[in-house]
Amino acid sequence: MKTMRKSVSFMLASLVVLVTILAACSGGNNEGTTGGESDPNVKKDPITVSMYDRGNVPPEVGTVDNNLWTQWINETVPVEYVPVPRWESVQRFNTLLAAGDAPDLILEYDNAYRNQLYLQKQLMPIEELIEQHSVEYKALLEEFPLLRQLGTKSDGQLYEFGRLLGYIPGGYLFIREDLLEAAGLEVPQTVEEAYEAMKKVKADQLATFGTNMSGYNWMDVAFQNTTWVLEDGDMVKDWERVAAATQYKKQLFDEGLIDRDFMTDKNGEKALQDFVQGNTFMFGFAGNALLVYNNYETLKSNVPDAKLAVIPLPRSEFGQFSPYFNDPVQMTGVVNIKAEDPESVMRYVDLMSSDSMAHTLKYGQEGVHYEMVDGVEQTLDQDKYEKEVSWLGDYRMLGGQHIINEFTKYLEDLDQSDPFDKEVHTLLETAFNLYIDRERPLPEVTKYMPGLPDDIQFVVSNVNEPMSDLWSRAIVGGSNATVDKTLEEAKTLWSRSDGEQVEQFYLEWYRENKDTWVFTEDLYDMNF
Amino acid sequence: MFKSRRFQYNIPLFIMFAPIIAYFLIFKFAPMGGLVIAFKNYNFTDGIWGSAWVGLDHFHTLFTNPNMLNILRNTLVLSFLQLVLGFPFPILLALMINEIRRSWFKKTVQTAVFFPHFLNWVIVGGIVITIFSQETGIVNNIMRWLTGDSYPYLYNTGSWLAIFIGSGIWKSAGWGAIIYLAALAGVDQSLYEAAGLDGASRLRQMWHISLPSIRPVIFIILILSIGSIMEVGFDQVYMLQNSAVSQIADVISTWNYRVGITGGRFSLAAALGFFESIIGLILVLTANSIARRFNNGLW
Repeated sequence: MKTMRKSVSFMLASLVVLVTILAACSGGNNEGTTGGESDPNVKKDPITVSMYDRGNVPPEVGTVDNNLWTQWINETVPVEYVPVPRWESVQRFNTLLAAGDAPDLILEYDNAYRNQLYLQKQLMPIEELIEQHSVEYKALLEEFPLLRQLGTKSDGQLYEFGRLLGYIPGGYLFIREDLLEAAGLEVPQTVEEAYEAMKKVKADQLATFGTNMSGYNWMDVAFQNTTWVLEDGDMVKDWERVAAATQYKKQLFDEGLIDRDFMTDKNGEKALQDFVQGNTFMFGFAGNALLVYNNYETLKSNVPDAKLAVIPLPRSEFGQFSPYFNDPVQMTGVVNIKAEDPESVMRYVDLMSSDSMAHTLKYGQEGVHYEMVDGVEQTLDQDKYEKEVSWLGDYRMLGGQHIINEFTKYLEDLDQSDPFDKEVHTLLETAFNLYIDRERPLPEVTKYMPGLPDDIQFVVSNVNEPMSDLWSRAIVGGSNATVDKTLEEAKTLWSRSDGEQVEQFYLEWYRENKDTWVFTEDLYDMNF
Repeated sequence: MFKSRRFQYNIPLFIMFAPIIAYFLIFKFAPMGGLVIAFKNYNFTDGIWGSAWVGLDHFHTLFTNPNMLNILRNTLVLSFLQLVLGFPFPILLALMINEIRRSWFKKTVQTAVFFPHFLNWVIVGGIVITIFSQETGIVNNIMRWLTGDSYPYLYNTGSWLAIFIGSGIWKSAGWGAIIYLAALAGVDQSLYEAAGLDGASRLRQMWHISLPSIRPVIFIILILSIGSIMEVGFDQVYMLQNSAVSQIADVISTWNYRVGITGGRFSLAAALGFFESIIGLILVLTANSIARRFNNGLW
């Protein structure tokens, strides 16, 4: 009897525990809502802000969400960072949002994802917030109207914070100057010349591959294969350019001028390996200046005679274009509609947007990391700088970051007395002058495509991949899959998948916005 | 009932069982409630209950989608081939391992065939692609040496299918054999001795004793795997697919990932998942009722 009573009470106790756990689960974070009302005497909870985790914070300095910089920022605005893995950020944000734990300020580069959040009614309009509580960001908004234009969503309200970056090259076309010389060739000016040059280099057995297909594909840029183009003053879906680009690639494939395994090289890693081992003659590359330096260094150590030149993209029948450069103005931040203390979020944005903060996050603190010598910042201890300051890129996602252009700063930091550094300096400087030039514009109508409404977005995500697969098959399909036949198939697939709806959307959007939107030509007159 | 002696006697057992019930309620049954989002226009802000009802709209979107037929066909074909071709391998493997008499050799073989199961598909996929790639793959290197020409194994639908099925078998056959090995270990040894005395060869013993003894297990596994015929494991197909074979390699799970999850259309993804589960349930019930005719039903 006694043991029985004991076990009954034990069962009751465990039930109680269970119920409590369940209640705690469903209760969520209700307790926060009442405390959020602005009573100055009550100490506010710190705001939460997302922070990319790239695994690059040195352990001695701390962790992504707790290090000397987060502590330092906390002295001004109490903030709690929510680490988000850089390459799985969207999945992570989705999980956090679904659980109701998403940060108050979401910092994410992916335009499509931020627009998706807007469509899901997840965002808070920020116009009034800026009007009432901002100083720094408000000033930037007035100085660079583009910030407002780009941050405004389809309902006409301002939702996004952004940053100013200045001009920073992002894509490059490199050519092996040593091979060019060995084959007795000039720098190819047109796509046909490029094809002939690749053929010659391959025939002379100077390189295994003429160029790369995986990784950054410069051929799509050269042929302006950007899906949407302007024709007779309207924005229409392109068929001509994609066919021409595919024909060109198919020719390269059939003649063995490109790596035939390109389709299984999903992230371009193999193409890069081939390039740094000296197997590739012309190489399209996307990455920052540091990566250019490192890869060139690896190439040199594998093939000491290798000499790279950066060249303008060859001209095609559609014109001459340039590889992409980073958006000089880029939208990055949105405020969670559930943020309890938007005022503090604004204070945080202002803090991070200020010139002095931008300066500190690039050079470090005066007296600790650098000192002024003749008006120029001089790093005191390079090791300390690398460890404590060099990885702060993701703190520079808001406001006036253009005051220190990353690219030009990188060039300045190169050691001109070192022959290799000097070579890279020339290379990067040439790229800057060649690619950021309205004579050879970016191929796209605009870098800032409008966010799509839900139903159109569905059509696009449903049809995009099958379409690009179709074109890929034409490249590897040999004589069975001609480009003409594929074009027919692609058109059928497009109309069967309601592609006309997308065409209609862009057509109307362009007609309505062509006088007010930011187009490619507008990017070349920024006064940074 | 609660006063009956039998209940009171078993109270300690019920208590021990309580966490399991709780586990199933919390982690298996409660999440099923989330299926309602298949009939709603789910968004994060309004949450599961607050989002607006849309009835069967998502199912309508799915089944009027011109690519859906192709995706369903791919799913069924891949998974049917996986089942038909892959099913006998663990059984054969178990029978063979069972025949090994030297225990050190048996253990070594067992460990060797289990091992691939513990490798992630990301690794196995990388290995498979490297082996069969056209420029540097070992298979094509040998072929070039023999015939002077290479072959695009990964771009050709037929050879891709063979590689897909084969790599699946390689990875999972050893692990699948465990359950058959356990069943074989339970077979009464005197049966083998008696058969041996009667002059039955090893093959005969295998055919007349080993196989019939594990028949119930084979049926159970068959019924369970028929239930998952609408699922092609995401990792494997996602790692191995490429644009050239997408017309046979784009399956429900990859489509759902691309359009549903990364496209933020969770309701649509839920609707497709729901459909997939219902077909799976129907298939399991059918398979079981057929098996019952042979007195080998699961329940």
